[in-house]
Amino acid sequence: MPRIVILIVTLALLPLRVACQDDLLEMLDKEIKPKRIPVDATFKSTRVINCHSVERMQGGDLELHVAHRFGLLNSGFKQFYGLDESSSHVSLEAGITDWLEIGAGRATVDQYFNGFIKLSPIRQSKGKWAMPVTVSLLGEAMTTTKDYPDPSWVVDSIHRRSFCWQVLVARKFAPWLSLQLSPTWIHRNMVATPQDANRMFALGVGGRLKFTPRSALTCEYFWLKDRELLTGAPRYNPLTIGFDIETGSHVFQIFLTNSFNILEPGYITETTRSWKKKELHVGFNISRVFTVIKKKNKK
Amino acid sequence: MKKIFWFALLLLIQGPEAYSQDSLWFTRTGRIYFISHTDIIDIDANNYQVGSFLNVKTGEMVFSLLMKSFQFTLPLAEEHFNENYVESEKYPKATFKGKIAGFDPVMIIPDKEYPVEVEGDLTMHGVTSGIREKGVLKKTGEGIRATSKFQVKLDTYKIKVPDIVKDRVAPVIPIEVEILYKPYGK
Repeated sequence: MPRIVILIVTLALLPLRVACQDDLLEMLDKEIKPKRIPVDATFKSTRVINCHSVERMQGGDLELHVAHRFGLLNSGFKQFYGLDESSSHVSLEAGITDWLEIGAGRATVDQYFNGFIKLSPIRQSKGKWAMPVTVSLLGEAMTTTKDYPDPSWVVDSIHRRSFCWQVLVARKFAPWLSLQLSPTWIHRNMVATPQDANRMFALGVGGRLKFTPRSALTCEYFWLKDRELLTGAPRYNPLTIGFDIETGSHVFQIFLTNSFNILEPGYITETTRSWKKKELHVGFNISRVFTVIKKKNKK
Repeated sequence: MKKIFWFALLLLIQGPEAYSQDSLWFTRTGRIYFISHTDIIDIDANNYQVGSFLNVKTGEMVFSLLMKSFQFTLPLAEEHFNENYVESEKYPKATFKGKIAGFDPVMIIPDKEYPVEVEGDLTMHGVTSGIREKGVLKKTGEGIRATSKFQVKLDTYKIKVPDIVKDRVAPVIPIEVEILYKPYGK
């Protein structure tokens, strides 16, 4: 009889011992303090498509960014569906620290040189001190080297400049879903007529659906406040739908858009083509990242 | 006599008090280093926040680390590691749970190396695989130092390398473990 009792007790205690062994790993998890874990790679590229994303180069990385828009897709065989015409922007963008980036480039449309500074004061993170969103601030200035329509114009060079400020707020909801809101203020020192506003506000929304680790569907739209106040051809809100492919240190973005311009004052306030009229451009961005300064890593 | 036999068996099965404070040694600042070496590029990273317990009575060992805590020399490699290879958001941790084969507590003698073989389950990227690797334990004035060098095959843990970067990521990754255990709870 006691034999059976002891046997039962032994058997009853066996699972306890197994549970106890599991505990060592659980104990370890409790011992490791919860950490602040930043959420990385909200977007693959420093651009949603046209618009800057909250992403920057990390400290020591240099990006060569080439953006290209072909002519109108519906221009027919004579223009080879837009291939003959093009607009491009080439820039070099450097990560100074992990939260600060500077860049400079040249755009063919209106012959703009541009320079920008982008910083990310708030990073989305989990765990301790969790933050729901990443916030990046962008300040951009550009100057045109284009001749004025009338060479007799004597205009101070300050009038050649335009500016753009953006507050980029993005959240990676899941590895497959990221969304960004991009309130944008644009200031153009010279506009077409005195009726045109120098300063305009636009609200951008953009997103990414990542369906494999290296490819994603992207979409971007800008709503321009007071666009009916702009003189000349009617303006449309730019809508862009694209596809991201990442291959190691390259990111390719290929997309359809109604904007031919690449810089912010251009594509936000100067888009005169419309999706409804099927006036679309094929575009692509290529981003190549070079690590110039390696991070120190104790061996 | 029979009673004593059954009690002895009971004690044998239950084992000694496994987790008394004295038998557990601990760290949360262990180091794990790995390098992917190819002709084109070396990609390496350190994790200085490896947590581990060593039970010096039973030889049990557990390890746990956050994949996101690996610090790379190449920043972009860090993003790709987390996003594309180990999928850190889906599988945030790597863990090991096992024991020293044929462990003899008497062998832990101050300033003497004790070559050991550790066997158990290594889990990462959602895949658990049994491993058995060599290592060394050495008790010093600072604590108990445990070191090991071994290799993991990416295939084993279903970490896929796309064809386009096959020549840039090594299929077999050498790993170095360096742990300095201190008595737990002290």
